[in-house]
Amino acid sequence: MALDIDFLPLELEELPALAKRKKKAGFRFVQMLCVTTQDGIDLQYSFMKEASLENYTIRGVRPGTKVPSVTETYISAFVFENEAHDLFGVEIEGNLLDFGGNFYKLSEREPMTIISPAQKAAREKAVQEKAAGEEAAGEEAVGEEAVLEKAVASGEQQKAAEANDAKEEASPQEAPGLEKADRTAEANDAKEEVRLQEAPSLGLEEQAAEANDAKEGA
Amino acid sequence: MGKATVIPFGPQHPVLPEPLHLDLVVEDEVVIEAIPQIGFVHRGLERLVQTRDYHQFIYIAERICGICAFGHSMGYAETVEKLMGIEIPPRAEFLRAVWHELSRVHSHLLWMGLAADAFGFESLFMHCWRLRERILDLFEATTGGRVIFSVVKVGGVTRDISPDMFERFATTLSGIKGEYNQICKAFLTDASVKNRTVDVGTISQQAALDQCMVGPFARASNVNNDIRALGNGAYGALSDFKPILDSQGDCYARVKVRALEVLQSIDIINELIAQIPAGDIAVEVKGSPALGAEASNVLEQPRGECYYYARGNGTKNLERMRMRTPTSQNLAGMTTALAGCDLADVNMIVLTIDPCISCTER
Amino acid sequence: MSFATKSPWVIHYDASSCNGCDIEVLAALCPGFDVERFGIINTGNPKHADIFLVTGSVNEQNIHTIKEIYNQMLEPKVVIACGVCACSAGVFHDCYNVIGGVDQAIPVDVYAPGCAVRPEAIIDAVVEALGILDKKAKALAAKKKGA
Repeated sequence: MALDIDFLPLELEELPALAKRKKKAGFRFVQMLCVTTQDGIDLQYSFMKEASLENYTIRGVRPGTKVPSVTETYISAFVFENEAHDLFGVEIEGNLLDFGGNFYKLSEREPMTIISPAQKAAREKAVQEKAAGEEAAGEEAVGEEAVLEKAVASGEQQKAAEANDAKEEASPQEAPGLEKADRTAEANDAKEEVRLQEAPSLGLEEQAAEANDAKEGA
Repeated sequence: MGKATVIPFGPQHPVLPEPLHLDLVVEDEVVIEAIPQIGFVHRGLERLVQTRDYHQFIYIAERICGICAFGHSMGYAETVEKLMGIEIPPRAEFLRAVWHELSRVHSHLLWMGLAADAFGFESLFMHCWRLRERILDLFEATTGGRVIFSVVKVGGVTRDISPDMFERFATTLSGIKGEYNQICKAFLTDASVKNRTVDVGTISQQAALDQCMVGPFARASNVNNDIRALGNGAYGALSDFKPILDSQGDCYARVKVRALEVLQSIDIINELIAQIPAGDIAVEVKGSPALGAEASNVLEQPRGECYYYARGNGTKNLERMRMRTPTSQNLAGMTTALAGCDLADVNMIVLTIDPCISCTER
Repeated sequence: MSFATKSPWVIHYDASSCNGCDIEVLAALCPGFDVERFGIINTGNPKHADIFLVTGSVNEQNIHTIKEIYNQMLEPKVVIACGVCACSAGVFHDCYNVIGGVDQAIPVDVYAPGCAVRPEAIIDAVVEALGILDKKAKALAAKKKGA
């Protein structure tokens, strides 16, 4: 019997009742996860029984909304609810084992809600492309994908990111008030590019060290 | 009626391979309550999906945990393949399953060694790890690495195994069996070992169901939740797969379940090798996951069921990659098992959930 | 003949390692590579140890633990950073919760890279550390004489 996976929508108010229903029906609690999106945080709760895996998604939870806890029904959810609070800033009411924000000691608050500027730009671009229409966007995307792929293949990821940024700057959609944000975005992109540059060279050193060790060991 | 004292356990402790902090509230050497504190291994790698594209992220996924490394790379690749609707060749599925079962053998042997060390039987720890070296030699011969393999990629696997190498697998595994049976005898019949494990940290079946425990930890309390029974991937080619269950629910039962799973895995490997189809080992993967696409996947790793979730956003980077590992689910069960035990049994009980804290915290 | 070139006791701590390097450290002590035949024993007490084997990178929560263990060890002591995460945070260098390699917390004497570090590299690092331990012991003795 193969695994049967379902993605179903859920409203925030129905959550405690759903947990109780699932417990009665013999489902076990699998996990709870959060995704940062443009419209807030998506919460997903998964339940499983034998070969059936059901994922319920609550879309767009805004900061400040109180989410009811499911630890009364499923105590093992305390780990995920503490994590959601510490990493995403989701406020959960009624967690039986609440660490009060000290589950993880972090240097940044709500780190998983931070999206880098390069990523934001890339995601907005993808949304625009999809919205522009299937056929026309399809050809354009394939062309750009090919350019991006070539760039990646030849190891010039940096140039591809720069090309994207140049395109973003050239597009007339930027409001004048966002200029400052652009400059900081550029500075951040420069940092990101430096980091991306660093990563491959570290790999080479590692490989050389391992090769040396292997030679010595053999 | 004694006075309650709080004894801190960890994060640095000779029996713990990983940092975990427990505040043990103790009264006259009996633990009343155990409050866990994790976060020492939190690196925050789930946010790295923003700086590594979905091909490169597999190297991060493998390094979530060194013991379950293969499981995570396989689970990640399967999830992204589901997300993008990619079908991998059957030979790749069989190769992945063979390496995964070998990973299970090495992980359980590792755990048995650490469990022996936890109750003070150091020479048994040495014997288990000596046998494990032979499994690591097989890994090194086929993948190039002892701990982190990097043989899985989105679309298949990167290396093939030749028929000669499969012969070597068969010989090594049958060679291990004889010595392994002796080790099992020590674990399961020795009186001093039984003294430390029987009726220690018992969890009933109802408690195991309430706490939603997974893996051999739950199977020792008679909860059948082995994902391999669902027959995904190459596991569907197995003629007869029955999860190993035990109804006692104490530390002895957990040792027994894992010890028997090693033998079962060796049989599975032999069966898969006999049936492996010829063909390609990978397909080419181009393009990006679609905007708004999501996929989830479960995999039975040595420590239990691991849940993966991926969401795409039209770019080469995934929007979200989530790995829920078995130990995060078992933490609640561990705190229950610790309540009411003797102070001297704390290390044994903590080890029997097979904690993989680096998996939990990522 | 120096007393410090034989049988150092090691203490091992996993900072934020994935466990790969930890199991290779333990494998070095087990019959496959067997450093125990040289008298090297894994102890849990910092006051009994000469060599501090650290694996994994440093994050906000474990920086205090690493410093605490280092401060509790008696002089002369040597620190070995095992694995590339301990040397320089490795593949996780741009994670939000990683401060860097172990040298962000305590002074490191020997760097043993690798992902995961091979037991042969660990043995090499320990041998290197013995030479450094020797030098430190001599310096300590000279200081005591001078004072």
